[in-house]
Amino acid sequence: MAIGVYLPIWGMQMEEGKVVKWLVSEGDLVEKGDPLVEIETEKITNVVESPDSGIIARIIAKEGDVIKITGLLAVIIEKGEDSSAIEAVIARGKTIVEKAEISMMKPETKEPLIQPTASMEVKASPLAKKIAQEKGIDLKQIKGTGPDGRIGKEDVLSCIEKLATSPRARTQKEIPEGPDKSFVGEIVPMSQTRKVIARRTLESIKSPQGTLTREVDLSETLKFRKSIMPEFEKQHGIRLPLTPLFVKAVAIAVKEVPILNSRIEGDKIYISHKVHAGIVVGVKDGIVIPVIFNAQAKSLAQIAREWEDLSRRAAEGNLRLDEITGGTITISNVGNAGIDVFTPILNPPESAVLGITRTRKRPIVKDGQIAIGEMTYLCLTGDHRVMDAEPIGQFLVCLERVLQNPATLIL
Amino acid sequence: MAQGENILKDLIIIGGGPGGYSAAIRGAQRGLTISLIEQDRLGGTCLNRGCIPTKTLLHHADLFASIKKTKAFGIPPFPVDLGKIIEAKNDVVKKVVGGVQNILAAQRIDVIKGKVYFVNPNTISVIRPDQSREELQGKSILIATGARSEVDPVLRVDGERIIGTEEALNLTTLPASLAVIGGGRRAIEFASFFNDFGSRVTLIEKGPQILPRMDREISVRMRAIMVRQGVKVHANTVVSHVDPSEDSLSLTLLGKKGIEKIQVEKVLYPGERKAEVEHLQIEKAGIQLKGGFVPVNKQFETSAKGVFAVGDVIGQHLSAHHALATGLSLVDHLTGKGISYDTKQIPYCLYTRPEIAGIGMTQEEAEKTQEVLIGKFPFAGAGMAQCIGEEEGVVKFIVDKKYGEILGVHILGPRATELISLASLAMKNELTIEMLGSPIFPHPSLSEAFGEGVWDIENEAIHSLKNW
Repeated sequence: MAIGVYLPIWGMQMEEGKVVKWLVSEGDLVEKGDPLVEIETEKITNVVESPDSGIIARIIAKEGDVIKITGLLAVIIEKGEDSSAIEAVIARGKTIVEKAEISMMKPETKEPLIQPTASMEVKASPLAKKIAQEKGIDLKQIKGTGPDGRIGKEDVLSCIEKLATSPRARTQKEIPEGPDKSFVGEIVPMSQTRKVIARRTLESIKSPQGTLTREVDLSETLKFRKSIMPEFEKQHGIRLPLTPLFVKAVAIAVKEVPILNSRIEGDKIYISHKVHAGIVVGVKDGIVIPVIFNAQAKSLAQIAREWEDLSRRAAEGNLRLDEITGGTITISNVGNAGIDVFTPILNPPESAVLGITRTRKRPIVKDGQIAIGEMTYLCLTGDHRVMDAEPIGQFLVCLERVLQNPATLIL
Repeated sequence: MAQGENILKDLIIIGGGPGGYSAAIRGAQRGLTISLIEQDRLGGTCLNRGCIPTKTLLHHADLFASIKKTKAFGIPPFPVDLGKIIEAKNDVVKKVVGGVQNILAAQRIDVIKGKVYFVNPNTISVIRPDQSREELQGKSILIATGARSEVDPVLRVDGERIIGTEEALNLTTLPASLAVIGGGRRAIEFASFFNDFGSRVTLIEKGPQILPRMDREISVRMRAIMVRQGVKVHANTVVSHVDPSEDSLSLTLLGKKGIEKIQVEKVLYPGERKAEVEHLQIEKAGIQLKGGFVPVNKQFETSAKGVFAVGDVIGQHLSAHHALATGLSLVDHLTGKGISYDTKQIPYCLYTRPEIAGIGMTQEEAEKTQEVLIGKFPFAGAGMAQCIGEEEGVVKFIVDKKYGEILGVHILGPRATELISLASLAMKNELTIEMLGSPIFPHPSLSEAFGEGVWDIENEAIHSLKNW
């Protein structure tokens, strides 16, 4: 019978894989277990093995294609089968992907207590069987840790313990099973992005954080940007947004107050001399934080070019894993959202995050006169384990000085 | 770096006893590159100074006692040539050590002779017999150096009149009288051996019970048997003073009844066993002894990352099979397999007359945590025990009342050390008593006593009087 070769799910985070190289061609005879194709995911490169013996009738996913999990890679037929069998497999393949996408949206449990066993025979010790029977536990639901997955006494006991303490068991006692009838509204499954954000932010609030705020006049910065913009556009072919200026300012301030560019590991503080600045970008259903590496060594133009590329690809959802990990400090600009003051939270394991808010024209006193300032608030959060208020304050003062003497940014 | 190819090995093993050599062989079978360093002879305590030599001697003692008590042949009393027995023992030791050597060679394991000390947590230095030095580094280092006997301030072993186990294994003339200090496994085995050959043996134990960690009933029965065999047992007694005179030793015993003096030709003091880490400079690897042994976690890793320890040097259970099991488990861990080693399921064996073996909890331990059932069967009820004239002893089961889980099995009697493996197999696979009572045991055989013991849990033993 014709069968499909589908992209396996190699991990909970895996959503898709890129076809790197086919190791067989159409028409090849293959045995069950033969390596067929190399697939690259965010984390690993792995080989898909042939699920059965037969002939490679059609290769669906071409080298370079990015395929969703459980997507159809190829069709294997038995000798004598014709193209209608191939078409049938292709048609079936489409519905499988749809089903998999829906099932991936289900909230994941970290360590599955319940393993799908289908018709597999349950291997369990006599003692385990006896305890399970008495406690009314279905052995099919237990994952054995013995040889060949054999279930032992400890496996049954730990299952009983988990069932007794798992939140599911507790809610089952409190609320009857099924949807809560009294709830009026919409229940939405969390997207993968939201799940990652949920995990990361929860991790973040474990550290003691404090935010200091300073009002800064950006008149000079804006004037500077405006003055170099035409020449900049001519030379580099892109506009100069404010973000690269902030990145550069942060890199300069780190040089003066390095402690903000650090992380804790064990009982040591690692203060980095390289500034890898993560910049928060809003995307569909969440945020991503692409990183500009070695900002301390890059020119404003270089940073602007990288930022142009990263922000565009972030919006398209085309960032690589190595482009969104490894930051040492984060910048979050919420100016567009019309926010005046906020408390950004740390992006672990980093020790500082700079929040930038909207810029408004406000009356200020300058040289004894009322003047108009382009005012913003810089909100800087630090990890209290690493630093106290003083370096955060120093960092803000330094930022203000740089932003008010913007020539420093291109020195 | 004086000599030798200095390739980074997967595993460097210090010590060629059962823990070290078994890890080396299993490691090599799984494709690890290995260096094994031994300062003396391969085989460790077990092959050279422990299990193998003592069991050879005890076999001869057993044979001697059997011939003596077998009336059928009409063999008149005959002398014992201890020198010949020692020779036989030396032959056996040579053979088994040679065997280990051959297996290691067949596995192409790099065996280095020399003394070892740590330079830092991942480097050791080897001093070869010709005094050349070499530094070695391994991805992992295994300490399998075993244990040695502690020195006692009162009973200073001189190797002549106050002897340790090593000297006892090489005595060519039988002492007329001998005091054995301690009531542990090694003391009891030596007491049994010398008593069988006709030495007047006095056993001196500081606690109230010989074999104190054993199931109390088994230990009490063994004491009675030993006393009947002629061993004088002093419990709750310590040696407070040793006074050497011309041809004997005068021991001052301090017991519950007061002070007593005895005269003996020799004193055998097995001594307390502690980790053998002399010269090893484990502190350079950042390792501190705890209670005289090297502390390890469940994966046998010491406080130094990448430095592991197995066998007697970690304490827990001093025996060759513990060393072997932990050595193999470590290789399982290093090669990515799960560790199946379970400290609760290590059998213990004594090759006395009769033998003693056990596994799991004693009745006293089990009763502290749960309701238990006891099943017992005397060897006297087993036909085979009658046939071979060894009807003394008992098979005892300790079982959890609720689920019929086998918590412990203790055997005193003929071939106890073989029969205990039935219990090991059953417990490892979590067989309940129903399963264990159902196989057909051949008749006549000593294993019948095992099956009957299971039936006795439900008071259904066949060849047993009630309330025996």
